[in-house]
Amino acid sequence: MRKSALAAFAVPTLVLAFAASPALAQSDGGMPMRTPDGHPDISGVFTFRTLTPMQRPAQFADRETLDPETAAAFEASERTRQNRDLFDPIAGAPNAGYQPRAAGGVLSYNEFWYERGIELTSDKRTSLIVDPPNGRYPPLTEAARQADAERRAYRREHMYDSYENRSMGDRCIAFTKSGPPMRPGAYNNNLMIFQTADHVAILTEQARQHRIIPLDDVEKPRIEQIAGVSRGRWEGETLVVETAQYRDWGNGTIGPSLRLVERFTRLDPDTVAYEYTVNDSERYTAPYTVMLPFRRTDGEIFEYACHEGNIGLYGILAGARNLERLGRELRP
Amino acid sequence: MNRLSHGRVGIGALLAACVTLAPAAGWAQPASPEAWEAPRTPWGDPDIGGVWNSSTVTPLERPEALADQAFLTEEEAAAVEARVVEANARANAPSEVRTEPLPVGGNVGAYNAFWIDRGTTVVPTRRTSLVVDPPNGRLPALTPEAEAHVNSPARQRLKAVREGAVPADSYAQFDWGDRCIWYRGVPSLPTAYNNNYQIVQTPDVIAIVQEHIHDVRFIHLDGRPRIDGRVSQFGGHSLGRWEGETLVVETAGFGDRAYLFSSGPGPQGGTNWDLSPDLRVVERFTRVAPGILDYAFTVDDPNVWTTPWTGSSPWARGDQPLYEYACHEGNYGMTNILAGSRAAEAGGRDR
Repeated sequence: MRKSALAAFAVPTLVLAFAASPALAQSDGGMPMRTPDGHPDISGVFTFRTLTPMQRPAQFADRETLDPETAAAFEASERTRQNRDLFDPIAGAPNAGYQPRAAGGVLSYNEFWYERGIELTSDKRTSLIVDPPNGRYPPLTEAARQADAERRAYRREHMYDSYENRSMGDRCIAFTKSGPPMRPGAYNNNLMIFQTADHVAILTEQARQHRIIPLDDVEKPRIEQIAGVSRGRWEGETLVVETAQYRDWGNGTIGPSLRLVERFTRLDPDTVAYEYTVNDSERYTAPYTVMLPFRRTDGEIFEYACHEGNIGLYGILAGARNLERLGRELRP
Repeated sequence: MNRLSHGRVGIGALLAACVTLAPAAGWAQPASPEAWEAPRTPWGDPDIGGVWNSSTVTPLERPEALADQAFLTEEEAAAVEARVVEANARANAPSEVRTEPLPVGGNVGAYNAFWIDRGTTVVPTRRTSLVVDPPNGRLPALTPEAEAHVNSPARQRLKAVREGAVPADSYAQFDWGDRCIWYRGVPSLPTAYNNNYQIVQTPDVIAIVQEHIHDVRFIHLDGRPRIDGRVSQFGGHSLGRWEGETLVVETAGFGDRAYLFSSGPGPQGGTNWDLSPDLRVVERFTRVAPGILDYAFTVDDPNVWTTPWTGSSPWARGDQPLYEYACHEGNYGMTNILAGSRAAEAGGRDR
């Protein structure tokens, strides 16, 4: 792995400069990594798990990256803070989102299920968001703030009414890890990229979502899809993919007003730089940009089971019906 | 076993109406392979990438009435296809206005013709079945164990549940397709709709997107070893290689998920086979003519069939993109099946 290239990954302008350099991605023999048809080779199986959070934590407010000692200490504390097996089921773990038993908290998955990564990005970045420069989401528009408040209020009242009121993920329909854009989460942070002369296909492990992206400007279907409609093109060393025509996921973040631009650049045999910009003027007062390294892994992508053997949704609704029968309050 | 034996408007009946001597039809119809070479990828393999469609009105097994007739004549094929078009037109005609409820306990029907997309043509070879071996065009006999399994009270009860003859206890009694988990199996046989595939081809790996349930299979060409046999997947684990013009794919590792589905010619229903962990499938993809990708497959499950069998299902080049596939979303079929079962029980009514 070329450390200098990966360090530059932290700074968008430098990555773009690298993207213009044809010598950027080289195989071990020093030859540029190219597909048989001569395009940069971004194919392979990758993981995007990382401890670097999407938004910069308050304690690192003015620090884009951490020095090695601070980074090691933060990684160690995160591994402990998030470790489900260290949670006390009675006291809960409020700083990791689990309420005490007395407040209705029930631990779910144990640590066996998690694969969120054990390290920050190799450049020890404090946030995946690189723009705005403070590493935080831009402020919401007034309309989005209001819509979120209404959605939360409705959810508090009705989240146990029916499976149809649960999230796309609960319903095994779509996951934010697959997006697009791909965002890291607690597990299944893996994907596989295939390339041909005129298409790039992306298979994400969670829910086995796939996208086949034409690289020519073929006519777009006049429909909205959960994963939108994507078209790609090569700009030097970088695959640029633009996506729109999303269906509304009902969570405020993915819907018809989202315009996504993703950039994939092979930095070296082990790394693809993935950068995306969210343009959604109905939701955010400014665009924001995320940079997430895809690290090569030699494992296979297996089939993903979501419904099969999974009685979680049934348990949620049955539990709610039982509480209603007992005349007890349902807590979100 | 037939999930729904009623309501079949069979190609069997259509084919049985036209019996003459079988011509020696092959891929020479409609194009000669000698006169045509498959396009190549930039790295020199035959190019099988793109969108393909496997719809056909040719059944998996040769209708019994056709006995030794392995191929239709051109005239017979044209007659079959014309009758399919007529049948579709009849099915698409406006329904009779109904003023009285249907009799209680009867079959209320399911999808109308709008949903069905089986195509209107027989396979280009005009073969009378997708099965090419055994030579009689029919699947080999079941083994005694498989017969015993099919006829066991437990399996018969499951069949009755799936046919709606007795109330269903749980969604878990329904097949993988009804549960939106997996369709078709390996090999992937044509069914009533969503017979579309998109192949993405690279030197090391080939991905096949199956429109039905929006799933992806991939086939490794890089010579890697088979994964640990304790890992079982619905699509098994597929390893491929090029043999001249043909992509040969060997698949194993289905475990206890091994399963195959073929739908009959009617608007609904079909045949579901429970297969065994010993299932091995060899698939052969060959571009045999412009616009035709032959998909041949040999299925070997020594616990189910007394001999291996081979079929050929030509895929036609498609010119439309694949879209996302919704299975659960907006689909109240399972809820209604189970709610109907509970209502039937509450009413003390036997179906």
